[in-house]
Amino acid sequence: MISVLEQFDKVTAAGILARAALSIEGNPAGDYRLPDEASIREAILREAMVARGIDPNDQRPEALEMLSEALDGELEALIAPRDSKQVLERLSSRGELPSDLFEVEIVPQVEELYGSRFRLEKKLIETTVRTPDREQHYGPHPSVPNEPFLVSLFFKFFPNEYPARSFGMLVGGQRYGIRLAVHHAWHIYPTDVDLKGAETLVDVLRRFADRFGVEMTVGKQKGKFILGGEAPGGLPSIQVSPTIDVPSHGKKKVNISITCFYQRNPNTNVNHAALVTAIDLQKYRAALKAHGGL
Amino acid sequence: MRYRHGRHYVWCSEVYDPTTAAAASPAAAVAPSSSPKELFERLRRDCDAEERHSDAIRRYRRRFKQLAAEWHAAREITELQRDEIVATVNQTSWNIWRPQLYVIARAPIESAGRLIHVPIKERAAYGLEFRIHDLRPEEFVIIEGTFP
Repeated sequence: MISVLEQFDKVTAAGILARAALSIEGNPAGDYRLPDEASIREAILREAMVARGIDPNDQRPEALEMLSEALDGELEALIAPRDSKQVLERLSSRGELPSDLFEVEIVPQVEELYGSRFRLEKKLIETTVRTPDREQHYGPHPSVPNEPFLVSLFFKFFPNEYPARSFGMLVGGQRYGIRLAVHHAWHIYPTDVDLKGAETLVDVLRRFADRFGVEMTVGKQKGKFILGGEAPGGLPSIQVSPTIDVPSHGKKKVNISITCFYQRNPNTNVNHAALVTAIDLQKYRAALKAHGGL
Repeated sequence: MRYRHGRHYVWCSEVYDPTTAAAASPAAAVAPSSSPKELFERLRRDCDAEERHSDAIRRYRRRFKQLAAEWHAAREITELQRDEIVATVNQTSWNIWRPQLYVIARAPIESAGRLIHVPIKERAAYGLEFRIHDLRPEEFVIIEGTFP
């Protein structure tokens, strides 16, 4: 530590050092706050310059840059968090972690869904998470009953020279610290899913499920999309009819992919399923093919 | 928005691109290093290219750590908040440096005496520059993207 700062506690020393560094660039946050700070600052700068072999009279940009770097090193020693990973996990818990810091893991169900195309889909998913056009995050505690928690949604538009092939990628994942376990990964084609007026990414997922999903029951709730459903007795059961009514063709069997996040509500300790969809894979794959996505 | 009750400290200019201002006007005399367009595009290029040797990002990283230390010493943020800022800027994230344009309605800020003219000795060139020390989130609009 710079010797003149040893008389101060770490917080005060860091403040003095930071203001000295800010003053080099003329930042008003570098204004003095303590009595006699002017002479303390002079001593800091002199000691830092001598240590780096910088002539105290050298005002060239290169010399000032070296001085700034030297002060940055001293400041880092005073303020660097003991455990950066823990800090980042705290940010993630609140849904405030920069999305390109997530370690993305994709559940096997998504890989099965896309089959031989999975390598490309993995890149699309990772790009969507890293550089989303829109994000939506649920924090660690549900604010209303049946609301998801620790879940994030990301959306990115991938334009194509052929408009019918342009699509939005919607990715949904559960946050575990800085890990993101991706369960939802859907192509949203504007001609298939009307996004006009969709205020949130949950709205986008709901509209996608309305178009490609089938009716299901989660606990006492029915629909093609369930935001969240509780099951006090254990893991929530999701009931889906394996057949659907096709007008003028009677009933037909469907291949359904059920996607959801199984969670335990931190407020009530009750099991909970969130962002539940039951997607008709034949219908979805047919749409992908029609748009040149398969 | 998360820290210091959302108060922002901003340097601002009357024009986005000084090179399009009338030749004899003060706006045209704003230096490239103070031009919102130049700053925006330089940062955009560096983020898009994930330029690890970006001078701009290196300086911003340093400045945010300095500000975090100063704000904590001044009790404007907590130690936990300081740690969050420092841990975040020390990561290799490009999202945190993506440029944003703030569009600020001048009249209410100026009439409240909060629009501070930067003295000429602190400016990069002759052109007018301004500072606002306590801009609130409801006082500006954020624009992201690319501009012609």
